[in-house]
Amino acid sequence: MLVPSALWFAIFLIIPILIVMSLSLLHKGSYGRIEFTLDFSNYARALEPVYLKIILRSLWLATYTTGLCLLLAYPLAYLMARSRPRTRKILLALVVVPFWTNFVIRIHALKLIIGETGLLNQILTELSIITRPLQMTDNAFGVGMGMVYNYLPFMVLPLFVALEKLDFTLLDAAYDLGASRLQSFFRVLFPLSMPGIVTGSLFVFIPAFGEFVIPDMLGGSQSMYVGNIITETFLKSRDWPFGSALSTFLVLLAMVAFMIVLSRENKTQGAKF
Amino acid sequence: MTETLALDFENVSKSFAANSDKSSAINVVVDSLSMQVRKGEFFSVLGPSGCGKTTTLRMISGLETPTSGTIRMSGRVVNGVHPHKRNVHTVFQKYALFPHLNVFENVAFGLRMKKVSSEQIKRRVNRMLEMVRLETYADRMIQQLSGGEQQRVALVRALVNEPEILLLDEPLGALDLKLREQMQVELVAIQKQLGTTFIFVTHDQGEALTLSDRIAIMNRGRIEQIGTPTEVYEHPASIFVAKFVGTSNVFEGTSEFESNSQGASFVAIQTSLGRLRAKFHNGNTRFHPRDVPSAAFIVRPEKIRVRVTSPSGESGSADLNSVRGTLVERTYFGPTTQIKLKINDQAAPLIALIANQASVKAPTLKLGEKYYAVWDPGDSIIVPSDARVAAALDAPISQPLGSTATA
Repeated sequence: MLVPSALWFAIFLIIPILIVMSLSLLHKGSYGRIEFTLDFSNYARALEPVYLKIILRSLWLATYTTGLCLLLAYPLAYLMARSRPRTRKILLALVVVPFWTNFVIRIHALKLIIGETGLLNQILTELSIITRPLQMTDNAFGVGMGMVYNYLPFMVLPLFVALEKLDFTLLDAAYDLGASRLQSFFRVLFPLSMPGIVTGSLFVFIPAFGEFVIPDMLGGSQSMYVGNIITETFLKSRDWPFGSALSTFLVLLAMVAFMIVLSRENKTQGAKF
Repeated sequence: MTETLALDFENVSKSFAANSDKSSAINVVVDSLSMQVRKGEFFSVLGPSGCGKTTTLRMISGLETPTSGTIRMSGRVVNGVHPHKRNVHTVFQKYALFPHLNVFENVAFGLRMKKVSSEQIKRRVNRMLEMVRLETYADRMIQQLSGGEQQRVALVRALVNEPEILLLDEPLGALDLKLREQMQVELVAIQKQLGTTFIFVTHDQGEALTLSDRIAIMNRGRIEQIGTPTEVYEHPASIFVAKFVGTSNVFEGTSEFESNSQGASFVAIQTSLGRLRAKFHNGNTRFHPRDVPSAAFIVRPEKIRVRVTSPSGESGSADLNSVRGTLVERTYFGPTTQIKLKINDQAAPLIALIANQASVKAPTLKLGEKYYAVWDPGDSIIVPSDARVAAALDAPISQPLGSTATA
């Protein structure tokens, strides 16, 4: 039973990663060709301040996207877990429905709403709340909006799964023992929903770190993140070895983050049993 | 008077919007409930599932707010006071222990919320764990404990906070019989030792009779009777109480007043078995037949004697209740034998419980033979058929609150 999925992972995940890793150790030739000589300079270049700054900016983007998604998703997931089956189904559908349209179209639709001549600016101008349109796209704000909008469901669903399994009489017990609502949340609900928080955060953080389409569409010309640099290096500068080095760097960072979270999770599990 | 009351319910009602989406119907779960619990009392609320007892409990703990009426604790009105501002703690039905904390931290939870100093927490938690013999379990996680151990952790997690009132929501339901009996003994011992007011919710009538100083029997959101275990068992106030607490033979009919030549007074009731009599006094009949004509005759199975011959002609036999029927079922219980007599064409047979003594030899009674069932009017109860009338009559008799039969 494991053979098909093992084959799938080998062919479409492990082999490509190995190819990218080997490419990153080669030398760039003229016209995008690759020379088969061992070359570590790609990594040295990736650590140059220009690129390091972009990597750090991407890390920050992934971090605040994850944080905002968590803040927005938690109340929604809680509401879903505690509502009656019917309401729950409706809410679940509302979370999933955006996936029925293509990702690029969705982001474009968002642009139509928050763009300079977009719906939101028009309404606010009509209502005389603002005199000049607000700049909500082609800047960091636009990128943040797009990221949170796109990644929210990936946080909601794992959180909902974790909260749905929770025994809510534990909250009654906490109130009964003198805990306020806030204390009950931090001492009972939050630690018990940790598995959902961890899964959701990984689902958001890892893809958000390499995201390049949303910054491209909503961030304007000067917005540069790791994802954008990698696409440009591959497609425009035709520097496959350097692009591969950056990609490997990204994969390693994501892996390290994953390992840290996983080992901490194992530790708490170990204490439980 | 109020200082001695731990809890005072005055006409408390609770209703919820009905669950269906279309109708705006209102579901009355607790209906003008009045009861008083004294300090240090082991008080049980007994009733079938869905009778409103859990809602009553949640109103005491503050997890629900009454729709109308007043709840007082030690004289203070507590309607709408948040749970964490009440000195009431609960042992939950399935314990609701925190799975991410160990035994010590579970018990310490309430004290940590109150910002008690850590050395005091250590002292108080350990003392509690010692009381239930779990002092070596402090570091264990909840999943590592057996049902009985979890039960004891849940109990001391609530008790460590020194509550004025401890609420117990069917806490023994999840345990097997042997463990349950053991925990019952332990519960009563702890209650007497600490002197805390216990309010115990259960659907198990045997448990309520064994543990309680007093019992409130609830049905459909109303209290049908409040009394000591003896009062409730020997003098049930309504048909429901008679059937829910123990086993009863119940026959409905029209009641009449009657007195004999010696001047003794009875209430007689014409039932399908014939004319049956109960003594006319507070315990057996609490009303005059002219006020409540529609009534039910109740006799407990163990009050009935079984004879081969008619008792008529024996001394004092004139007032005895006597019916004749065919033995249709005989069940041997060890100390007792239960028999069922089918009388005339009655659908419900008369149930009698006979102690297995040398003089009776119940196991030798033959199926299909005819026997006499005989009992004293003093062992008979007549109650109004209408539960509401019965409850109104019950109010004065449970007032003398002095008796503590379990002490």
